[in-house]
Amino acid sequence: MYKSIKINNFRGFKEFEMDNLGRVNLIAGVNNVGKTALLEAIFLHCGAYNPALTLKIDSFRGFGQIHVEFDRSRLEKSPWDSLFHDFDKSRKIEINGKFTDGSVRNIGLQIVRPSGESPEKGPIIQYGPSALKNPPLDTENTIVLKLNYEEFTKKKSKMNHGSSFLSIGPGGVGTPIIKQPPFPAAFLPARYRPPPEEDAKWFSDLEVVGQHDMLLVSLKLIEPKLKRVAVVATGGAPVLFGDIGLKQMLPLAYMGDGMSRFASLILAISHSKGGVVLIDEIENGFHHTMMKKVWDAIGKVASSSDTQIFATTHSLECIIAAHKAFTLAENYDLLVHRLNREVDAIKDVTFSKCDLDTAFEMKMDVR
Amino acid sequence: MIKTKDQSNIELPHLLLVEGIDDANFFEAILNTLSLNDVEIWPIGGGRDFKKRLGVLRKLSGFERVISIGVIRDADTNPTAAFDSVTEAIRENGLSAPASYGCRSTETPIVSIMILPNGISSTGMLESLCLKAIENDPAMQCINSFFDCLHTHSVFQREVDEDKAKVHAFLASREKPDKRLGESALAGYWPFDSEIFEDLKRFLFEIGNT
Repeated sequence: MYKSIKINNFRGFKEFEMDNLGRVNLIAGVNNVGKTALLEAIFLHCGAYNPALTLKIDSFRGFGQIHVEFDRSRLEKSPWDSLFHDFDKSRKIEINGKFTDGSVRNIGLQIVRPSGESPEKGPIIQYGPSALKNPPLDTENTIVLKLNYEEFTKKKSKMNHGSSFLSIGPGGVGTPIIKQPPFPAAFLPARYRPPPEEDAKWFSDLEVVGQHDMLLVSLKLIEPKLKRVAVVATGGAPVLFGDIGLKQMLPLAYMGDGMSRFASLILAISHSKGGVVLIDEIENGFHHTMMKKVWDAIGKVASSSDTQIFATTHSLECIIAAHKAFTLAENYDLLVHRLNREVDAIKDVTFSKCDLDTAFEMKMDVR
Repeated sequence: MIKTKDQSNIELPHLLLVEGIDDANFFEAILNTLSLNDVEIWPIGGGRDFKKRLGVLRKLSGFERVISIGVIRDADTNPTAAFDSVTEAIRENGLSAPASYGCRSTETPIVSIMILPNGISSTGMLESLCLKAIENDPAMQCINSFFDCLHTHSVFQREVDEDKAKVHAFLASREKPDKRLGESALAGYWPFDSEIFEDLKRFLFEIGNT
């Protein structure tokens, strides 16, 4: 579980630090202060060795296709420019995380030319609209993103470091085979729904280990008529269906956006055992009267799965509901963080249980 | 501007921290007479509440833009203890506190403290100050006689609250007899042009003009 995270030169963060992280971290702040960017930085850090996640976070923002113009006169531009604070690619992006078990991992991202530290040492997978068998990494038209990592794993008492490269050239995108990340992580963007088959797959994984009731118990909190959840192959793809006592089962999506988003949340958390789930605008799709129940379920599943949660919100009702839910839970696992823009820096302001008790008693706005 | 509504955060550069909502009304009335519109009044309580709530207040959005903070507290029976309690809470919340009574702190936000009715040299409360301002009002002769009578018959037990009780008696003699102190200040029942309020007005003026 993350204990602290430090971010330099990424998106709106020149230098940023959160040094008081809990099991469930609810992140508030005004528009454009960097809430989503914070989730993205943590997601990249969770991926640990995988520079291709930089393309994935852009797709979460709605940029589905990478478009790079290979015009020699415009080579200064790259698909990663917006990742760098103030578009300043001369400074490396650094994301450093400390964990509660004493482990540490630091990753750095920088744009390099293919000459010098060449990526051709590793096997290359490539994809893209006009993929070549071997991307022309030695040409001047190729742009390369280098990820370097160094980590100390407390359990193994071992230091480890290395680099991986992601290249984009006229032949497509080339990325080396990377090792598995140290723990699972899932990102649930604000406007993007995971494909139904992904939820179905995660549910099946739970079923294999006999933990599928976790989803039913959680969903019943907002749909008490629900008796059973099952994977049904429909139209060639597996989809989650629910039995609410009608003549036949219904796809969960037919029970409303909130129901299917809630299912995705619970499945992501239970599937990320010992890992991290990042949820952008967690209140999306839920009526405010449901939020306490949503938090009840998130708290229980996160605790039993040993999953750490980072969620953003604009809603004071959502924060109050979370505070109420965790106040009544066995452990108060919530910390609320507000990202505050101060002069030329963004600071984390953390609210503990006592702070929230006082703030709500005084009708203060913690967002 | 009194901050008691839902979802309050800090919008103005000067804060006045008082004990209760009625105090807040009273000081708003004086700020209005001084045309000080850039001061937010936060009724954040006294004692332990003050320390705890100040801790949350300084985490609210907008606190980083605060230039000055004034704290007004009743002396009650021990004015020095009242001052020490405020300065300790300020320091424990990571803010700079005045080195001694009558001084201002040196770091931004600049903090100043006023103990009522008369600094650290006398006991009492806001109501004690108000009574001094109306000691020549004809109603006071009746009120003092009334309290003498209560004392003679050993009816009035809480001498420590006598000034508060006399203020209530005075307000009972006004046109609308059910107003509390702060409400009566907003209604114009108190002579803020009296020299008794000069120190208080100077204190507020300095906060609003730092």
